[in-house]
Amino acid sequence: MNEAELILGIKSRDNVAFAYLRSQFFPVIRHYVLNNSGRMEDAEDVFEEGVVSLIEILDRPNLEMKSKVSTLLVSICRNYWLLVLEKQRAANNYQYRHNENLESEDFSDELDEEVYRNILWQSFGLLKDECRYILRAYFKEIPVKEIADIFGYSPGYLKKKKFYCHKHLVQLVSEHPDYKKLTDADVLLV
Amino acid sequence: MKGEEEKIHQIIEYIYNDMSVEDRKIFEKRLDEDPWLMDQYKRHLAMVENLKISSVLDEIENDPFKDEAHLLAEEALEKHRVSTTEESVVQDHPARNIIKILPWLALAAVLLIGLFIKPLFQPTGDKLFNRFYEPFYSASFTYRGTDDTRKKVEGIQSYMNKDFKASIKIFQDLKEDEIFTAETSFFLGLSYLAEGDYKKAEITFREHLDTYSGLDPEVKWYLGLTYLKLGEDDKAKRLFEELSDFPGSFGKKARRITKILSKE
Repeated sequence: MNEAELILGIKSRDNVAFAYLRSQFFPVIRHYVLNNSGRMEDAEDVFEEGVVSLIEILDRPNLEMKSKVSTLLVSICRNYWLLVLEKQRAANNYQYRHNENLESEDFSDELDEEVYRNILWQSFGLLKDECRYILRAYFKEIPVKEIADIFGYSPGYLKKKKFYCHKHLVQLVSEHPDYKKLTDADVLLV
Repeated sequence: MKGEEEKIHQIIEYIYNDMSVEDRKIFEKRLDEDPWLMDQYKRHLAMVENLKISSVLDEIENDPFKDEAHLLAEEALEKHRVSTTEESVVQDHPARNIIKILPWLALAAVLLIGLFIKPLFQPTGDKLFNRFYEPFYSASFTYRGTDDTRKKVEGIQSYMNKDFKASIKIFQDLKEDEIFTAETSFFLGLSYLAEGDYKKAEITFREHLDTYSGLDPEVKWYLGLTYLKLGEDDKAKRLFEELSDFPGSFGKKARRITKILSKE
């Protein structure tokens, strides 16, 4: 789904557009909230609030939005979560929740996750342009035929290509200098 | 080694949604039976999920109009900020003594309503249906299918496009041709429900539960809602109670709806 289709879908309250919003961007919000003293339910609430605000903005007459929907939605959600944290602090609740979270979570896991994501992203950057494009197009759920047409491939060949791109990425990750440190630390990764 | 390579290939096809419906079902069954496959699947899935997040964040970082987005986001937040400010103003207001007793007045009012007027405001099955019903959507059903599933995918897409008459027609044809699976049966029920044919929706969902083992929570959730619409609250409540133990979003919604129904 491209930007124009997504905006049109949101404006016409199309379920497919909302499902797309969720599948593409909720993981980003969840990641942000969970890494900032929040819980899963908080992430759900923040995302819901973000989508409501997004609809209100897109419904404005004469709005000429140039930024991406994702930029706006993530920005709204981040701001909203920061405000919630502010309110929680004001209610003297924050310290309690914060302590509770520290007790229940292993901070080193968070660090490892961050290191892993960096390794992954750096390895992804080492892939050829074509591979990066193909994998990203898959992440965005662009139909296979559409991606294949861009490169002049058959859908079958594109699927093979995607397989080798993913495999090459796995190999690059395993060869990353920081990856060994992580696996030595007994962290389960690809 | 070759066997492992083949399994990895299947994992990648599954994660990237390049499998037919039938192959997905076979693969999911294998996942349950093969711990090595499940372990590898989780690793590859984590990799793709993390990459998706990084990819979105990278696009945001490189959005040339991100400042405009931040401004719009700030504006959107104003309404929440206003409510925070109002709260702090109330704290300092001279009338705070009156405000302090307001919660007690409110509590008294609630008790009065509870004792004398509550029955008038209780949600009926119909109201609950309107509050909780939303058409089903799952990206995992938008398969890049092969020819043998073309008709099924067409039906699901008609449902997604809210063309329920068309989806009912397609799924009925498949039923007559005996090419009926858990997914088609589920979507036929959903289509009847969306079209307002609650009796047929009930029959289809019940047949589904008697015939198939897949999609249980989804079918129970929508059958429960159908019962609400048919005024059979007890049956609905029993189904939602069963669903309450389920860990996913249906379980969460079922717990909420059971709580409301129990108050009646």
